[in-house]
Amino acid sequence: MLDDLGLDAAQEDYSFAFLDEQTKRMVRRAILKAVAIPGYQVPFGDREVPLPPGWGTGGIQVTASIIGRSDRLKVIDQGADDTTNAVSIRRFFKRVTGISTTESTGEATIIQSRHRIPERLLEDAQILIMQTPQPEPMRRLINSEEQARKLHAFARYGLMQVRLYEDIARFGHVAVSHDYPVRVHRRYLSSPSPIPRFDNPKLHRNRALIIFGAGRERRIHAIPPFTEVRSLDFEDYPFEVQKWEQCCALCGSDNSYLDEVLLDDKGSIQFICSDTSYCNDRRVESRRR
Amino acid sequence: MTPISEEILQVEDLNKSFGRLAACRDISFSLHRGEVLGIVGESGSGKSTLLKCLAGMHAPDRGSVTISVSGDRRSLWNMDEAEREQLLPSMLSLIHQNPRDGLRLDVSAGGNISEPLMTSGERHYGSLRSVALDWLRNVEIDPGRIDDLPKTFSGGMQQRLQIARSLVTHPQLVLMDEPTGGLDVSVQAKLLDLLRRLVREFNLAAVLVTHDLGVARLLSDRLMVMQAGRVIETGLTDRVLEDPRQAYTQLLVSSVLQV
Ligand SMILES: Nc1ncnc2c1ncn2[C@@H]1O[C@H](COP(=O)(O)OP(=O)(O)OP(=O)(O)O)[C@@H](O)[C@H]1O
Ligand SMILES: [Mg+2]
Ligand SMILES: [Zn+2]
Repeated sequence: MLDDLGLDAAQEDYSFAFLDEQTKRMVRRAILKAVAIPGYQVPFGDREVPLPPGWGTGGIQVTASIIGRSDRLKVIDQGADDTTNAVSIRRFFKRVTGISTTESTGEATIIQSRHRIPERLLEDAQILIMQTPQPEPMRRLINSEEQARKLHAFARYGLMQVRLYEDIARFGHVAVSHDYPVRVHRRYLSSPSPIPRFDNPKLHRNRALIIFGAGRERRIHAIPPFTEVRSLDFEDYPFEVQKWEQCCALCGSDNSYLDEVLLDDKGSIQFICSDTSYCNDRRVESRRR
Repeated sequence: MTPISEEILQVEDLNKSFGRLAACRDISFSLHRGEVLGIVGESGSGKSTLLKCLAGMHAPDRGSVTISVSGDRRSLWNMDEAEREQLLPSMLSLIHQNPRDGLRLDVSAGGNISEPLMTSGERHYGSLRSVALDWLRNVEIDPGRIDDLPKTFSGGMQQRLQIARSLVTHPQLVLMDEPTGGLDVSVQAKLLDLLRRLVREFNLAAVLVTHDLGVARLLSDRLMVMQAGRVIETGLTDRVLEDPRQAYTQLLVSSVLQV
Protein backbone atom coordinates (compact mmCIF):
# COMPACT_ATOMS: atom_id res chain seq x y z
CA MET A 1 0.00 0.00 0.00
CA LEU A 2 1.84 3.10 1.17
CA ASP A 3 5.11 1.44 0.24
CA ASP A 4 3.72 1.03 -3.27
CA LEU A 5 3.81 4.78 -3.79
CA GLY A 6 7.34 4.40 -5.02
CA LEU A 7 8.93 6.92 -2.74
CA ASP A 8 12.59 6.21 -2.89
CA ALA A 9 15.45 8.10 -1.43
CA ALA A 10 16.39 9.62 -4.77
CA GLN A 11 12.94 11.02 -5.34
CA GLU A 12 12.68 14.00 -3.03
CA ASP A 13 10.45 16.24 -5.11
CA TYR A 14 7.25 15.78 -3.15
CA SER A 15 6.01 18.43 -0.71
CA PHE A 16 6.37 18.36 3.04
CA ALA A 17 3.93 15.68 4.28
CA PHE A 18 3.53 14.44 0.71
CA LEU A 19 0.34 16.31 -0.28
CA ASP A 20 0.76 19.45 -2.37
CA GLU A 21 0.06 22.77 -0.69
CA GLN A 22 -3.21 23.32 -2.53
CA THR A 23 -4.64 20.01 -1.40
CA LYS A 24 -3.59 20.67 2.17
CA ARG A 25 -5.21 24.10 2.11
CA MET A 26 -8.42 22.56 0.86
CA VAL A 27 -8.42 19.96 3.65
CA ARG A 28 -7.59 22.62 6.25
CA ARG A 29 -10.51 24.74 5.12
CA ALA A 30 -12.80 21.74 5.59
CA ILE A 31 -11.31 21.13 9.05
CA LEU A 32 -11.90 24.74 10.10
CA LYS A 33 -15.49 24.52 8.99
CA ALA A 34 -15.91 21.19 10.77
CA VAL A 35 -14.57 22.70 13.99
CA ALA A 36 -16.92 25.64 13.62
CA ILE A 37 -19.95 23.35 13.26
CA PRO A 38 -19.35 20.48 15.69
CA GLY A 39 -20.56 17.12 14.38
CA TYR A 40 -21.49 18.42 10.94
CA GLN A 41 -20.05 16.47 7.99
CA VAL A 42 -18.11 18.84 5.76
CA PRO A 43 -17.54 17.59 2.21
CA PHE A 44 -14.06 18.23 0.87
CA GLY A 45 -12.15 17.91 -2.34
CA ASP A 46 -13.52 17.06 -5.71
CA ARG A 47 -9.95 16.34 -6.58
CA GLU A 48 -8.32 12.94 -6.34
CA VAL A 49 -5.79 12.76 -3.58
CA PRO A 50 -2.74 10.82 -4.70
CA LEU A 51 -3.10 8.08 -2.11
CA PRO A 52 -4.47 4.57 -2.49
CA PRO A 53 -8.05 4.39 -1.15
CA GLY A 54 -8.79 2.42 2.00
CA TRP A 55 -6.17 2.03 4.72
CA GLY A 56 -7.29 5.23 6.35
CA THR A 57 -6.63 7.76 3.61
CA GLY A 58 -9.14 10.10 5.29
CA GLY A 59 -7.03 10.10 8.42
CA ILE A 60 -3.80 10.38 6.43
CA GLN A 61 -5.09 13.41 4.52
CA VAL A 62 -6.07 15.16 7.72
CA THR A 63 -2.78 14.34 9.39
CA ALA A 64 -0.78 15.45 6.35
CA SER A 65 -2.67 18.75 6.27
CA ILE A 66 -2.07 19.77 9.85
CA ILE A 67 1.27 18.21 10.73
CA GLY A 68 4.23 20.56 11.28
CA ARG A 69 7.95 20.15 11.84
CA SER A 70 7.65 20.32 15.62
CA ASP A 71 4.97 17.63 15.86
CA ARG A 72 5.39 14.18 17.33
CA LEU A 73 3.12 11.59 15.73
CA LYS A 74 1.60 8.45 17.19
CA VAL A 75 -0.35 6.01 15.03
CA ILE A 76 -2.72 3.42 16.48
CA ASP A 77 -4.54 0.60 14.76
CA GLN A 78 -7.00 -1.32 16.97
CA GLY A 79 -5.25 0.12 20.01
CA ALA A 80 -1.79 -1.07 19.05
CA ASP A 81 1.18 0.82 17.62
CA ASP A 82 2.91 -2.22 16.20
CA THR A 83 0.36 -3.54 13.70
CA THR A 84 1.33 -3.49 10.03
CA ASN A 85 -0.95 -0.59 9.21
CA ALA A 86 0.14 1.57 12.11
CA VAL A 87 3.81 0.89 11.41
CA SER A 88 3.49 1.67 7.73
CA ILE A 89 1.58 4.93 8.25
CA ARG A 90 4.09 6.02 10.87
CA ARG A 91 6.98 5.19 8.58
CA PHE A 92 5.31 7.04 5.74
CA PHE A 93 5.03 10.26 7.72
CA LYS A 94 8.51 9.97 9.09
CA ARG A 95 9.70 9.68 5.53
CA VAL A 96 7.75 12.57 4.05
CA THR A 97 8.09 15.01 6.97
CA GLY A 98 11.22 14.02 8.81
CA ILE A 99 9.39 14.52 12.09
CA SER A 100 9.74 12.26 15.09
CA THR A 101 7.23 9.61 16.02
CA THR A 102 6.33 7.99 19.30
CA GLU A 103 4.35 5.10 20.71
CA SER A 104 3.58 6.92 23.93
CA THR A 105 0.21 8.66 24.13
CA GLY A 106 1.52 11.27 26.55
CA GLU A 107 4.38 12.32 24.25
CA ALA A 108 2.39 12.66 21.03
CA THR A 109 1.07 15.95 19.71
CA ILE A 110 -0.92 14.27 16.94
CA ILE A 111 -2.48 10.83 17.29
CA GLN A 112 -3.92 9.17 14.21
CA SER A 113 -6.10 6.26 15.18
CA ARG A 114 -8.35 3.56 13.89
CA HIS A 115 -10.86 1.80 16.17
CA ARG A 116 -9.69 3.15 19.54
CA ILE A 117 -9.39 6.31 21.62
CA PRO A 118 -6.40 6.04 23.99
CA GLU A 119 -7.20 5.18 27.61
CA ARG A 120 -4.93 7.93 28.89
CA LEU A 121 -6.77 11.26 29.12
CA LEU A 122 -5.82 13.50 26.23
CA GLU A 123 -4.46 16.96 26.87
CA ASP A 124 -5.10 20.47 25.58
CA ALA A 125 -2.33 20.56 23.01
CA GLN A 126 -3.11 17.17 21.49
CA ILE A 127 -5.11 16.42 18.35
CA LEU A 128 -6.76 13.06 17.79
CA ILE A 129 -7.44 12.11 14.17
CA MET A 130 -9.84 9.22 13.60
CA GLN A 131 -9.98 7.16 10.40
CA THR A 132 -13.64 6.97 9.44
CA PRO A 133 -14.96 4.51 6.86
CA GLN A 134 -18.58 5.76 6.99
CA PRO A 135 -19.26 9.21 8.45
CA GLU A 136 -23.04 9.08 7.99
CA PRO A 137 -24.68 7.47 11.03
CA MET A 138 -27.96 6.96 9.19
CA ARG A 139 -26.41 5.35 6.13
CA ARG A 140 -27.73 1.88 6.87
CA LEU A 141 -31.21 3.22 7.58
CA ILE A 142 -31.77 5.40 4.54
CA ASN A 143 -29.90 5.11 1.30
CA SER A 144 -30.71 8.51 -0.12
CA GLU A 145 -27.94 11.02 0.50
CA GLU A 146 -30.35 13.89 -0.05
CA GLN A 147 -32.81 12.50 2.49
CA ALA A 148 -30.02 12.11 5.06
CA ARG A 149 -28.95 15.72 4.53
CA LYS A 150 -32.52 16.90 5.09
CA LEU A 151 -32.87 14.92 8.29
CA HIS A 152 -29.66 16.54 9.55
CA ALA A 153 -30.83 19.99 8.47
CA PHE A 154 -34.09 19.60 10.38
CA ALA A 155 -32.46 17.64 13.22
CA ARG A 156 -35.05 14.91 12.78
CA TYR A 157 -33.42 11.92 14.32
CA GLY A 158 -36.45 9.82 15.29
CA LEU A 159 -35.37 7.16 12.81
CA MET A 160 -32.07 6.55 14.58
CA GLN A 161 -33.94 6.26 17.87
CA VAL A 162 -36.23 3.69 16.19
CA ARG A 163 -33.18 1.55 15.59
CA LEU A 164 -32.39 1.56 19.31
CA TYR A 165 -36.06 0.87 20.08
CA GLU A 166 -36.01 -2.15 17.78
CA ASP A 167 -32.91 -3.53 19.50
CA ILE A 168 -34.45 -3.25 22.93
CA ALA A 169 -37.70 -4.82 21.71
CA ARG A 170 -35.78 -7.71 20.18
CA PHE A 171 -32.78 -8.27 22.47
CA GLY A 172 -33.68 -6.42 25.65
CA HIS A 173 -30.78 -4.03 25.16
CA VAL A 174 -29.16 -1.90 22.46
CA ALA A 175 -26.98 -4.29 20.50
CA VAL A 176 -24.67 -1.72 18.92
CA SER A 177 -21.14 -2.45 20.12
CA HIS A 178 -19.14 -0.21 17.77
CA ASP A 179 -19.75 3.09 16.00
CA TYR A 180 -22.50 3.87 18.50
CA PRO A 181 -24.24 7.09 17.33
CA VAL A 182 -23.81 10.30 19.30
CA ARG A 183 -25.42 13.71 19.39
CA VAL A 184 -22.73 16.42 19.26
CA HIS A 185 -23.31 19.77 20.99
CA ARG A 186 -27.03 18.87 21.21
CA ARG A 187 -27.27 19.33 17.49
CA TYR A 188 -25.81 16.97 14.90
CA LEU A 189 -26.17 13.23 15.01
CA SER A 190 -22.68 11.89 14.31
CA SER A 191 -20.75 8.72 13.84
CA PRO A 192 -17.82 8.34 16.24
CA SER A 193 -16.11 6.02 13.70
CA PRO A 194 -15.92 2.30 14.55
CA ILE A 195 -14.62 2.71 18.08
CA PRO A 196 -16.13 0.39 20.72
CA ARG A 197 -18.98 2.02 22.63
CA PHE A 198 -16.60 1.75 25.57
CA ASP A 199 -14.78 4.75 24.11
CA ASN A 200 -17.88 6.92 23.58
CA PRO A 201 -17.76 8.62 27.00
CA LYS A 202 -14.22 9.77 26.19
CA LEU A 203 -15.65 11.97 23.43
CA HIS A 204 -17.64 13.98 25.96
CA ARG A 205 -15.86 17.20 26.97
CA ASN A 206 -12.50 15.86 25.79
CA ARG A 207 -9.68 18.39 26.16
CA ALA A 208 -8.23 17.48 22.77
CA LEU A 209 -9.52 18.42 19.34
CA ILE A 210 -10.91 15.32 17.61
CA ILE A 211 -11.09 15.25 13.81
CA PHE A 212 -12.77 12.48 11.83
CA GLY A 213 -11.54 11.95 8.28
CA ALA A 214 -13.46 9.80 5.80
CA GLY A 215 -11.36 9.27 2.69
CA ARG A 216 -13.70 7.39 0.41
CA GLU A 217 -16.69 9.54 1.34
CA ARG A 218 -14.60 12.71 1.35
CA ARG A 219 -16.09 14.09 4.52
CA ILE A 220 -14.59 15.59 7.61
CA HIS A 221 -16.35 16.14 10.91
CA ALA A 222 -14.94 17.28 14.21
CA ILE A 223 -15.52 17.51 17.92
CA PRO A 224 -13.82 20.60 19.30
CA PRO A 225 -12.38 20.50 22.85
CA PHE A 226 -14.88 20.48 25.73
CA THR A 227 -17.87 19.79 23.46
CA GLU A 228 -20.87 18.01 24.89
CA VAL A 229 -21.21 14.58 23.26
CA ARG A 230 -24.10 12.31 24.25
CA SER A 231 -24.65 8.74 23.18
CA LEU A 232 -28.26 8.12 22.14
CA ASP A 233 -30.33 6.21 24.65
CA PHE A 234 -33.66 5.98 26.45
CA GLU A 235 -34.37 7.37 29.91
CA ASP A 236 -35.22 3.91 31.17
CA TYR A 237 -32.44 2.21 29.13
CA PRO A 238 -29.49 4.53 29.73
CA PHE A 239 -26.33 4.20 27.65
CA GLU A 240 -23.81 1.77 29.13
CA VAL A 241 -20.28 0.77 28.21
CA GLN A 242 -18.89 -2.74 27.96
CA LYS A 243 -17.63 -4.22 31.21
CA TRP A 244 -15.34 -7.14 31.99
CA GLU A 245 -15.19 -9.51 34.92
CA GLN A 246 -11.43 -9.78 34.43
CA CYS A 247 -8.55 -7.39 34.91
CA CYS A 248 -5.73 -7.00 32.38
CA ALA A 249 -3.45 -10.04 32.76
CA LEU A 250 -0.38 -7.89 32.12
CA CYS A 251 -0.94 -4.65 34.04
CA GLY A 252 -3.93 -5.47 36.23
CA SER A 253 -6.04 -2.57 34.97
CA ASP A 254 -9.71 -2.98 35.83
CA ASN A 255 -10.99 -0.06 33.80
CA SER A 256 -9.51 -0.37 30.33
CA TYR A 257 -10.88 -1.95 27.17
CA LEU A 258 -9.72 -5.57 27.09
CA ASP A 259 -8.96 -7.84 24.15
CA GLU A 260 -9.41 -11.55 24.48
CA VAL A 261 -6.25 -13.30 23.27
CA LEU A 262 -5.72 -16.95 22.57
CA LEU A 263 -2.65 -18.28 24.39
CA ASP A 264 -2.29 -21.72 22.84
CA ASP A 265 -4.13 -24.17 20.65
CA LYS A 266 -5.77 -25.73 23.71
CA GLY A 267 -8.08 -22.75 23.88
CA SER A 268 -6.64 -21.03 26.94
CA ILE A 269 -7.39 -17.34 26.83
CA GLN A 270 -6.20 -14.20 28.51
CA PHE A 271 -7.59 -10.69 28.70
CA ILE A 272 -5.16 -7.84 28.07
CA CYS A 273 -5.44 -4.12 27.42
CA SER A 274 -6.17 -3.26 23.80
CA ASP A 275 -4.29 0.02 24.31
CA THR A 276 -0.67 -1.18 24.34
CA SER A 277 0.82 2.21 25.22
CA TYR A 278 -1.43 2.47 28.28
CA CYS A 279 -0.61 -1.08 29.33
CA ASN A 280 3.16 -0.52 28.94
CA ASP A 281 3.04 2.73 30.91
CA ARG A 282 1.28 1.00 33.77
CA ARG A 283 3.76 -1.84 33.85
CA VAL A 284 6.77 0.48 33.78
CA GLU A 285 5.23 2.51 36.59
CA SER A 286 4.54 -0.48 38.80
CA ARG A 287 8.08 -1.74 38.31
CA ARG A 288 9.37 1.66 39.43
CA ARG A 289 7.27 1.55 42.58
CA MET B 1 -70.62 19.92 13.40
CA THR B 2 -71.14 23.12 15.33
CA PRO B 3 -70.73 26.38 13.40
CA ILE B 4 -68.98 28.12 16.28
CA SER B 5 -66.16 25.56 16.55
CA GLU B 6 -62.57 26.47 15.84
CA GLU B 7 -61.41 26.82 12.25
CA ILE B 8 -58.54 24.39 11.70
CA LEU B 9 -57.86 24.76 7.99
CA GLN B 10 -58.39 27.56 5.55
CA VAL B 11 -57.56 27.33 1.86
CA GLU B 12 -57.71 30.45 -0.26
CA ASP B 13 -57.51 30.72 -4.00
CA LEU B 14 -55.15 27.77 -4.33
CA ASN B 15 -53.67 27.11 -7.78
CA LYS B 16 -51.24 24.43 -8.86
CA SER B 17 -50.10 23.60 -12.39
CA PHE B 18 -47.77 21.03 -13.84
CA GLY B 19 -46.40 22.74 -16.91
CA ARG B 20 -49.42 23.80 -18.87
CA LEU B 21 -51.76 21.47 -17.04
CA ALA B 22 -53.76 23.27 -14.33
CA ALA B 23 -54.26 20.52 -11.72
CA CYS B 24 -55.93 22.78 -9.13
CA ARG B 25 -57.68 26.04 -9.95
CA ASP B 26 -58.94 28.78 -7.62
CA ILE B 27 -59.76 26.45 -4.78
CA SER B 28 -61.05 27.97 -1.54
CA PHE B 29 -62.66 26.30 1.47
CA SER B 30 -62.35 26.02 5.21
CA LEU B 31 -62.65 23.25 7.73
CA HIS B 32 -63.58 23.28 11.42
CA ARG B 33 -62.64 21.07 14.32
CA GLY B 34 -64.63 17.86 14.28
CA GLU B 35 -65.62 18.25 10.66
CA VAL B 36 -64.96 15.79 7.84
CA LEU B 37 -64.80 17.14 4.31
CA GLY B 38 -65.10 14.63 1.49
CA ILE B 39 -63.55 15.39 -1.89
CA VAL B 40 -64.91 13.45 -4.84
CA GLY B 41 -64.31 13.67 -8.56
CA GLU B 42 -63.16 11.61 -11.47
CA SER B 43 -59.62 10.42 -11.98
CA GLY B 44 -57.28 13.29 -12.81
CA SER B 45 -59.57 15.98 -11.39
CA GLY B 46 -56.85 17.19 -9.02
CA LYS B 47 -57.89 15.61 -5.68
CA SER B 48 -54.50 14.17 -4.76
CA THR B 49 -52.68 17.28 -5.95
CA LEU B 50 -54.85 19.40 -3.67
CA LEU B 51 -54.16 17.08 -0.75
CA LYS B 52 -50.41 17.26 -1.36
CA CYS B 53 -50.58 21.06 -1.30
CA LEU B 54 -52.31 20.81 2.08
CA ALA B 55 -49.82 18.24 3.36
CA GLY B 56 -46.72 20.33 2.69
CA MET B 57 -45.58 18.10 -0.19
CA HIS B 58 -46.37 20.32 -3.20
CA ALA B 59 -45.95 24.09 -3.04
CA PRO B 60 -48.96 25.76 -4.70
CA ASP B 61 -48.21 28.30 -7.44
CA ARG B 62 -50.66 30.73 -5.93
CA GLY B 63 -52.97 30.99 -2.95
CA SER B 64 -52.59 30.12 0.71
CA VAL B 65 -53.08 27.25 3.11
CA THR B 66 -53.59 28.36 6.71
CA ILE B 67 -53.57 25.82 9.51
CA SER B 68 -54.21 26.50 13.14
CA VAL B 69 -51.50 25.14 15.43
CA SER B 70 -52.65 25.12 19.05
CA GLY B 71 -54.63 28.29 18.47
CA ASP B 72 -52.01 30.01 16.29
CA ARG B 73 -52.90 30.45 12.64
CA ARG B 74 -49.88 29.59 10.50
CA SER B 75 -49.56 29.98 6.76
CA LEU B 76 -48.07 26.69 5.55
CA TRP B 77 -46.34 28.06 2.46
CA ASN B 78 -45.23 31.35 3.95
CA MET B 79 -42.63 29.85 6.25
CA ASP B 80 -39.23 28.49 5.32
CA GLU B 81 -38.77 24.79 4.72
CA ALA B 82 -37.03 24.17 8.03
CA GLU B 83 -39.87 25.69 10.01
CA ARG B 84 -42.47 23.87 7.94
CA GLU B 85 -40.74 20.54 8.52
CA GLN B 86 -40.56 21.35 12.20
CA LEU B 87 -44.24 22.26 12.50
CA LEU B 88 -45.84 19.79 10.10
CA PRO B 89 -46.00 16.82 12.47
CA SER B 90 -47.89 18.88 15.02
CA MET B 91 -50.14 20.38 12.34
CA LEU B 92 -51.39 17.36 10.46
CA SER B 93 -50.84 13.84 9.34
CA LEU B 94 -51.40 12.14 6.05
CA ILE B 95 -52.84 8.68 5.57
CA HIS B 96 -51.75 7.24 2.24
CA GLN B 97 -53.81 4.94 0.08
CA ASN B 98 -51.00 2.43 0.06
CA PRO B 99 -49.95 1.63 3.62
CA ARG B 100 -46.45 0.88 2.34
CA ASP B 101 -46.04 4.61 1.61
CA GLY B 102 -46.85 5.46 5.20
CA LEU B 103 -45.10 2.65 7.06
CA ARG B 104 -41.59 1.33 7.49
CA LEU B 105 -41.94 -2.27 6.45
CA ASP B 106 -38.63 -3.31 8.02
CA VAL B 107 -39.52 -1.87 11.42
CA SER B 108 -41.82 -3.62 13.92
CA ALA B 109 -45.42 -2.51 14.43
CA GLY B 110 -44.46 -0.98 17.78
CA GLY B 111 -41.51 0.84 16.21
CA ASN B 112 -43.78 2.22 13.48
CA ILE B 113 -46.25 3.61 15.98
CA SER B 114 -43.49 4.96 18.22
CA GLU B 115 -41.39 6.72 15.60
CA PRO B 116 -43.45 9.94 15.40
CA LEU B 117 -43.28 10.20 19.20
CA MET B 118 -39.51 9.67 19.17
CA THR B 119 -39.15 12.29 16.45
CA SER B 120 -40.94 14.75 18.68
CA GLY B 121 -38.58 13.93 21.53
CA GLU B 122 -40.08 11.08 23.60
CA ARG B 123 -37.21 9.13 25.18
CA HIS B 124 -38.89 6.73 27.56
CA TYR B 125 -38.99 3.21 26.16
CA GLY B 126 -41.59 2.01 28.65
CA SER B 127 -44.06 4.74 27.83
CA LEU B 128 -43.51 4.28 24.09
CA ARG B 129 -44.39 0.61 24.55
CA SER B 130 -47.55 1.31 26.46
CA VAL B 131 -48.71 3.95 23.98
CA ALA B 132 -48.02 1.53 21.12
CA LEU B 133 -50.00 -1.23 22.86
CA ASP B 134 -52.92 1.14 23.45
CA TRP B 135 -52.94 2.15 19.83
CA LEU B 136 -52.79 -1.42 18.57
CA ARG B 137 -55.90 -2.16 20.65
CA ASN B 138 -57.49 1.05 19.46
CA VAL B 139 -57.13 0.07 15.80
CA GLU B 140 -58.10 -3.51 16.59
CA ILE B 141 -54.77 -5.23 16.02
CA ASP B 142 -53.80 -7.97 18.47
CA PRO B 143 -51.32 -6.29 20.88
CA GLY B 144 -49.35 -9.54 20.80
CA ARG B 145 -48.22 -8.54 17.32
CA ILE B 146 -46.36 -5.46 18.63
CA ASP B 147 -42.93 -6.81 17.70
CA ASP B 148 -43.94 -8.27 14.35
CA LEU B 149 -43.00 -6.65 11.05
CA PRO B 150 -45.82 -5.09 9.02
CA LYS B 151 -44.68 -7.30 6.13
CA THR B 152 -46.40 -10.14 7.96
CA PHE B 153 -49.70 -8.21 8.22
CA SER B 154 -52.68 -8.35 5.87
CA GLY B 155 -53.49 -5.26 3.78
CA GLY B 156 -56.29 -4.24 6.14
CA MET B 157 -54.06 -4.63 9.19
CA GLN B 158 -51.32 -2.60 7.52
CA GLN B 159 -53.80 0.17 6.85
CA ARG B 160 -54.95 0.11 10.48
CA LEU B 161 -51.33 0.24 11.58
CA GLN B 162 -50.76 3.25 9.36
CA ILE B 163 -53.76 4.93 10.93
CA ALA B 164 -52.36 4.29 14.40
CA ARG B 165 -49.00 5.73 13.37
CA SER B 166 -50.73 8.79 11.92
CA LEU B 167 -52.88 9.52 14.93
CA VAL B 168 -50.47 8.72 17.76
CA THR B 169 -49.26 12.33 17.96
CA HIS B 170 -52.86 13.57 18.14
CA PRO B 171 -52.78 15.83 15.10
CA GLN B 172 -55.85 18.04 14.83
CA LEU B 173 -56.00 17.69 11.06
CA VAL B 174 -55.89 14.40 9.17
CA LEU B 175 -55.62 14.12 5.42
CA MET B 176 -56.66 10.84 3.82
CA ASP B 177 -56.19 9.88 0.19
CA GLU B 178 -58.39 6.91 -0.66
CA PRO B 179 -57.76 5.25 2.70
CA THR B 180 -59.93 2.28 1.86
CA GLY B 181 -58.87 1.87 -1.76
CA GLY B 182 -57.34 -1.45 -2.75
CA LEU B 183 -59.05 -3.35 0.08
CA ASP B 184 -61.82 -5.84 -0.38
CA VAL B 185 -65.32 -4.84 0.58
CA SER B 186 -65.68 -6.51 3.98
CA VAL B 187 -62.26 -5.20 5.08
CA GLN B 188 -63.25 -1.76 3.80
CA ALA B 189 -66.42 -1.73 5.88
CA LYS B 190 -64.53 -2.53 9.06
CA LEU B 191 -61.97 0.15 8.32
CA LEU B 192 -64.68 2.72 7.67
CA ASP B 193 -66.26 1.94 11.03
CA LEU B 194 -62.90 2.39 12.67
CA LEU B 195 -62.25 5.72 10.94
CA ARG B 196 -65.69 6.96 11.86
CA ARG B 197 -65.14 6.08 15.50
CA LEU B 198 -61.66 7.68 15.63
CA VAL B 199 -62.80 10.88 13.93
CA ARG B 200 -65.51 11.26 16.61
CA GLU B 201 -63.34 10.13 19.51
CA PHE B 202 -60.60 12.65 18.75
CA ASN B 203 -62.86 15.33 17.34
CA LEU B 204 -60.67 15.40 14.23
CA ALA B 205 -60.85 17.76 11.33
CA ALA B 206 -60.35 15.54 8.30
CA VAL B 207 -60.12 15.83 4.54
CA LEU B 208 -61.05 12.61 2.83
CA VAL B 209 -60.31 12.08 -0.84
CA THR B 210 -62.25 9.25 -2.39
CA HIS B 211 -63.60 7.83 -5.59
CA ASP B 212 -66.29 6.10 -3.70
CA LEU B 213 -69.44 8.10 -3.01
CA GLY B 214 -70.53 5.43 -0.53
CA VAL B 215 -67.39 6.06 1.52
CA ALA B 216 -67.95 9.79 1.24
CA ARG B 217 -71.54 9.46 2.43
CA LEU B 218 -70.54 7.36 5.42
CA LEU B 219 -67.71 9.55 6.69
CA SER B 220 -68.07 13.13 5.54
CA ASP B 221 -70.20 15.97 6.80
CA ARG B 222 -69.62 18.09 3.75
CA LEU B 223 -68.74 17.23 0.19
CA MET B 224 -66.71 19.02 -2.43
CA VAL B 225 -67.00 17.91 -6.04
CA MET B 226 -63.99 18.51 -8.30
CA GLN B 227 -63.78 18.48 -12.04
CA ALA B 228 -60.74 19.40 -14.14
CA GLY B 229 -59.02 21.10 -11.20
CA ARG B 230 -62.00 23.18 -10.09
CA VAL B 231 -64.50 22.82 -7.27
CA ILE B 232 -67.80 22.75 -9.10
CA GLU B 233 -70.13 22.01 -6.23
CA THR B 234 -69.94 21.98 -2.48
CA GLY B 235 -72.44 21.47 0.33
CA LEU B 236 -73.64 19.17 3.09
CA THR B 237 -73.07 15.58 2.02
CA ASP B 238 -76.72 14.56 2.04
CA ARG B 239 -77.74 17.61 0.09
CA VAL B 240 -75.08 17.10 -2.60
CA LEU B 241 -75.86 13.42 -3.00
CA GLU B 242 -79.65 13.73 -2.89
CA ASP B 243 -80.12 17.03 -4.63
CA PRO B 244 -77.08 17.65 -6.86
CA ARG B 245 -77.19 21.08 -8.52
CA GLN B 246 -74.53 20.70 -11.20
CA ALA B 247 -75.09 18.53 -14.24
CA TYR B 248 -71.69 16.88 -13.69
CA THR B 249 -72.54 16.01 -10.08
CA GLN B 250 -75.90 14.62 -11.18
CA LEU B 251 -74.07 12.41 -13.63
CA LEU B 252 -71.58 11.31 -11.01
CA VAL B 253 -74.30 10.52 -8.47
CA SER B 254 -76.56 8.73 -10.88
CA SER B 255 -73.79 6.66 -12.45
CA VAL B 256 -72.11 5.61 -9.24
CA LEU B 257 -74.78 5.37 -6.62
CA GLN B 258 -76.93 3.07 -8.73
CA VAL B 259 -74.33 0.34 -8.55
N1 LIG C 1 -46.12 15.25 -10.31
C1 LIG C 1 -46.90 15.51 -11.39
N2 LIG C 1 -46.33 15.92 -12.52
C2 LIG C 1 -47.08 16.18 -13.62
N3 LIG C 1 -48.41 16.04 -13.64
C3 LIG C 1 -49.04 15.63 -12.55
C4 LIG C 1 -48.31 15.32 -11.36
N4 LIG C 1 -49.19 14.91 -10.41
C5 LIG C 1 -50.40 14.97 -10.99
N5 LIG C 1 -50.32 15.39 -12.26
C6 LIG C 1 -51.45 15.60 -13.17
O1 LIG C 1 -52.36 16.48 -12.55
C7 LIG C 1 -53.70 16.07 -12.79
C8 LIG C 1 -54.39 15.83 -11.46
O2 LIG C 1 -53.82 14.69 -10.86
P1 LIG C 1 -54.26 14.14 -9.45
O3 LIG C 1 -53.34 13.04 -9.09
O4 LIG C 1 -54.35 15.27 -8.51
O5 LIG C 1 -55.69 13.59 -9.76
P2 LIG C 1 -56.69 12.75 -8.83
O6 LIG C 1 -57.96 13.51 -8.82
O7 LIG C 1 -56.06 12.46 -7.54
O8 LIG C 1 -56.86 11.43 -9.68
P3 LIG C 1 -57.08 9.91 -9.16
O9 LIG C 1 -58.51 9.82 -8.78
O10 LIG C 1 -56.78 9.09 -10.36
O11 LIG C 1 -56.14 9.66 -8.03
C9 LIG C 1 -53.61 14.83 -13.65
O12 LIG C 1 -53.77 15.21 -15.00
C10 LIG C 1 -52.22 14.32 -13.42
O13 LIG C 1 -51.73 13.63 -14.54
MG1 LIG D 1 -55.42 10.63 -6.53
ZN1 LIG E 1 -2.98 -3.79 30.65
